[in-house]
Amino acid sequence: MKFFENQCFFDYAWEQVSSAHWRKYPNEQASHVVAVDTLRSEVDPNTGILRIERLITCRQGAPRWIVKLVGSTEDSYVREVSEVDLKNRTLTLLSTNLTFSNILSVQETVSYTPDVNQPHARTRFTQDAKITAYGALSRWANNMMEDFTIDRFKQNAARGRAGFESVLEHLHQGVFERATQKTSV
Amino acid sequence: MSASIGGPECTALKKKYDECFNDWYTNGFLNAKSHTNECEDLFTDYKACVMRALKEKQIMPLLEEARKDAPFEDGGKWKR
Repeated sequence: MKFFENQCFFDYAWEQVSSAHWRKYPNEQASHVVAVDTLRSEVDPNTGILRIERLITCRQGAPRWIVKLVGSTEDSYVREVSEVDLKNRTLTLLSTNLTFSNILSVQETVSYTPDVNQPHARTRFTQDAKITAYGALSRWANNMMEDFTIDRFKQNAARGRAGFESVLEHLHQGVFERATQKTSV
Repeated sequence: MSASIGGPECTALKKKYDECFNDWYTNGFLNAKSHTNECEDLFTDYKACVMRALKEKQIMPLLEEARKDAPFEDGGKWKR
């Protein structure tokens, strides 16, 4: 079992960041994400929390040794459940792989919360992943799978951050300026 | 806006739904003006299209398994 952790900050208010989250794809950096579909979207009548289930379709090449181990597959699928807590200004997403779930388990938790020091101008992003490979015949092979997955996480995290920054900037120019104009008139 | 797993037909329905959702989320939900999903009708059509694609691609069993392990009502928290 291996773990991956990541944290960064975005210089935008939580409301902008959470809005941008739903408009994150496509972006140039995330060419591996080929489709995103909403499966379920509900506001919990008791808590007011917005809960959304999505299916993410990814296409990313894998080295030959992985293909030999697990067999080839064109697309892989991830299930994500998000919760938006407006009262506390938190957005949390929990994601798991559907593809290869019989040999590899990836459990990822992402959260967006206001930066403690600048709660209306800055947002903190944290990402945690727990990766366990258990399908291969040897511990060595499972270890290799876990290492490969961690490396891929690192690469995708860097691209993800850059991609999201460009989405935030783009939206900041458009949507949020218009919204401000509306309310200030 | 990203594509849908169900190809161009679903993507067209998704586009309509996403536009409605994004507007509702930013201008309604975030301002605590609206708690109800105002995009229900658009979602119904879009979702029907996606479900067809999920069945075709045999993703439903994987999805159902994942839902058991990490129920939607629990926010997707894993039982183990």
